[in-house]
Amino acid sequence: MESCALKDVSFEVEDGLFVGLIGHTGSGKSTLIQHLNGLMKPTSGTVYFDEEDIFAPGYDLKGLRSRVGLVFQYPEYQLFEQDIITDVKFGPKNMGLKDDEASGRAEEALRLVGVDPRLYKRSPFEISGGQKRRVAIAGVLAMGPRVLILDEPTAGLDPKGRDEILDCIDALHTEKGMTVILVSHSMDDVARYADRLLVMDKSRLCYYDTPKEVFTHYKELERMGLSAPQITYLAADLRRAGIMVDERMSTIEEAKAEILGFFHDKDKDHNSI
Amino acid sequence: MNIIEAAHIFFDYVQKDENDQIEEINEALSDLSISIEKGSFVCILGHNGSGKSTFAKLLNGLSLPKEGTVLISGMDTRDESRLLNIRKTCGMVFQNPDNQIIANVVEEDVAFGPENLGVPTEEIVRRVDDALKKVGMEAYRLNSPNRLSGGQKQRVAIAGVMAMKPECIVLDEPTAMLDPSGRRDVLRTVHELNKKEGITIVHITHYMEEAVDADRIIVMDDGRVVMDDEPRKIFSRVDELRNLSLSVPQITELAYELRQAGMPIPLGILTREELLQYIIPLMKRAERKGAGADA
Repeated sequence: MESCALKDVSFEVEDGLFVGLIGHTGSGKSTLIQHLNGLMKPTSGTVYFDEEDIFAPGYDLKGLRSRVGLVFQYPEYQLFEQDIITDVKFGPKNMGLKDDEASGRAEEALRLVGVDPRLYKRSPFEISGGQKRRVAIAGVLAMGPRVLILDEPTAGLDPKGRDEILDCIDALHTEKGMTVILVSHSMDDVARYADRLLVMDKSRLCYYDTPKEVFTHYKELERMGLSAPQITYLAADLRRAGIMVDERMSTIEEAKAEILGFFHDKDKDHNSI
Repeated sequence: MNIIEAAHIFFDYVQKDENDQIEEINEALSDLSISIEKGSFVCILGHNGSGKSTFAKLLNGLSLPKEGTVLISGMDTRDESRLLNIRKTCGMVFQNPDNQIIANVVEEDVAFGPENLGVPTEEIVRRVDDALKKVGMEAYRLNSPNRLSGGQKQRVAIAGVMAMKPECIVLDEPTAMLDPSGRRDVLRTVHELNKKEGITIVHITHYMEEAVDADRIIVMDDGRVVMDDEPRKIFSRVDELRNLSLSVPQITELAYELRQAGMPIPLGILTREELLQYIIPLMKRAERKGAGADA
């Protein structure tokens, strides 16, 4: 039996963008990201990286995989070396780098994800879940990718672990200019971090826009098995009550500014909405 | 009456080298005492490594405490002759649905438990029917589990537990891998089992929103209970929760921030409706004042 996992999906991601990818289970998210570094080949259509067709004959797919790093779900299950630094070195060594170069890359990657150097010689199995996950991400970073694709990197972590991983990814984006594609089931997280959202439903791409625009379609999102952040619903409730807040607010910071602004503006001056 | 009675529990994870010599001992639970009333809905929160899952595994004898006792409906988990009965009384659902489903057809999967207990065939058929209905999965009884979504698989796993006629279900992060609708469906299902069937629910989660409707929240840290109260009281302690690597639901956090900024809103706001009730009149008044100033 054949089933179609992706149907006529087209989109472009600009260099340096932070893109959130959302969709219900089975909507095609994981299939889609595996096409982006050539792990899967489309039945028809193709993928361009830097304007080059990655499925053209003779294209260097191995090289592509170090430039487009893919972090799978529960990446800590893929840790296997005796100590952390050796595990992170595995990727760069596999790319043919010399041992000291690979060490340099590994140390830099571990620094970027905030793993304490005192842990480098520890077994990756002795550290906490959040730390394990950061080591696994460092393993991908050590290959020096320009694009980082992560499949639900915060699943199963406590709120602090979640924030730490997301802040670390955000720093890679803002400080290193890395392009990020983040697959997530948390609407709150993508609202907070992403510049654009890709929304998949039943193998098709339904929306590709800023989170604010996408979340204004919260009723459609619910029909797709998704939702919007609580703040989006709050905005809708307030507007229904006749209080015209910005319907596109979606994070706590925005809601706070919007609600408080109501009081300050009106008290002090006359340029109210 | 308490269905779960854990008293002065100690539990260690012991790491041994290849020569069976002890390398390291990590204390996971330390003088932990928790009682859970029959019929209640209890959420357990705590950061990764705080001991939540270790505690859950003690509740049906998957592991045994080093010291202290765990009684399930009065049965000691150390008493091997009661083990089958304990597991029947207290069922478990884990995080990853793919690790819990074993059969090729949904109804066979749900029947697995009662079959193992030696329940007569007609009775099994009845129980499978009933369990699938209770989790809203009766339309899928002849489907293959691997074609279901994560949320549907978790509901099949819950039906598998229900077919054993349990008094209590312990769910260890059952929604961690699910999309928003899967999460909603699983949550709705466990709340219904609690309300309609009187099943005691112990729900371990990292999503603060999921704890809002519980009767009681227990917060664990370092193998101990550090908070134990109703949701409104727990979620009033915003800074303490942050220090424990936890957080509060988004609406609670927004209400807290607005309160810090001087708005007259009480602590422990849990739902949108509650927040709206406070801010709508305030915002309307500000609007009128603004309009008055303009004129």
